[in-house]
Amino acid sequence: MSERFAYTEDREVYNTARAKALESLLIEKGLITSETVDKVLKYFETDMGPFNGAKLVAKAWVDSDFKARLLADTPAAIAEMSFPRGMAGAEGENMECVENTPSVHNLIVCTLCSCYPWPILGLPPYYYKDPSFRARAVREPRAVLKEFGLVLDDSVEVRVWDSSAQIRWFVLPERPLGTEKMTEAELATLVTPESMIGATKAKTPVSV
Amino acid sequence: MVDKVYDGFYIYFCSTGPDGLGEAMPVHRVRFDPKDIWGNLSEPKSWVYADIFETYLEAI
Amino acid sequence: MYTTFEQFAAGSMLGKTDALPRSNGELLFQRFWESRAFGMAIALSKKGHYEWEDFRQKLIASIAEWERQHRKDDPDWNYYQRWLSALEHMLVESDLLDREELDRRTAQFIGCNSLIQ
Repeated sequence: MSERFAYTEDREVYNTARAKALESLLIEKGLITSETVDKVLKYFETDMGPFNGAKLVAKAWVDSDFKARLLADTPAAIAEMSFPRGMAGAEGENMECVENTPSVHNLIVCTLCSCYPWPILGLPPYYYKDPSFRARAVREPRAVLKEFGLVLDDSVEVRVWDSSAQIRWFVLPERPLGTEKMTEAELATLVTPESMIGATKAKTPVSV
Repeated sequence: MVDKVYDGFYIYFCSTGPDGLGEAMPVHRVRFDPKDIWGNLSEPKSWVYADIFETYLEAI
Repeated sequence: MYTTFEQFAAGSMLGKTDALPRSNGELLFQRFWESRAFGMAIALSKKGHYEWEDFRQKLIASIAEWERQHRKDDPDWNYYQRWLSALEHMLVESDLLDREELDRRTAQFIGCNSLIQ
């Protein structure tokens, strides 16, 4: 598709018109209804987002048997949580969990596009889709993590998982110290989407 | 995409089965050190894991 | 040559996330047209008009095309621009849409003033 306009404002006008034109044509052709797109968007607002992932991690933190199941057979363990799966088909298959430990830190990237485990994290944040992040995460992960505010000792092994094929990787972050008395619901508030991509660690209780 | 297997790459054989496009092509999980491709980097102890279709790999 | 991400760390520490506000606390898209393009691509795949993997390959190709023509930190980058482009290609290739009719309809919408959301 060639760009017709060189300037940002014109491009926004053009894109808006293009998307409206596309939607109106699809509705006229009976391929979608006037409510279809709104339904899809609503689903991602309410049913499919990082709140699911946070619950998953919190449960793994308190229940070591569940954690073992999560690492051994990720899709089966996720299925135990009964998360909504309506839109999952697209990016909800073949999810695999890798565990962060004091000696191993995992980072997820999709070098080719933006593959992401939608059912548990919703849609990817802007940095995950950024061409620089996608290129640099595989080349110099420690430098990238430093920019995210995470400095890892040289003795920690860094593993970068490229989700460009079938598998949709995500991270089980380390449980922060000082959380022994927290409930599962409280623990879930410490789990950020960035920590499940490995760009950061989970939040500590002090910063909540 | 890696189109050749380099010395020092570790291959984990794991076929993930059909990908919905009809044919089942084996996928190999390749682990490599970024320094092997982008030699001018100096980060220690980093590994990249990528799943690559067999067709893109050459046995050495 | 490459974007750096310190501003993300700073925002994160202040309690912000990079996602924009949603109805339950966060939004998913910066612009209206982005959300429409997203929704259409998902819906049409769910309805069986094309395989999701085929759309994903189009998206990969669209992104690769942009990256061939730009530096990685070029602010011209807009992810959903790639998405919209991939969607158009998918629809034209699947014979669900004619490029000329889309161009005509786009021109009509540009002619109207009720565009800016």
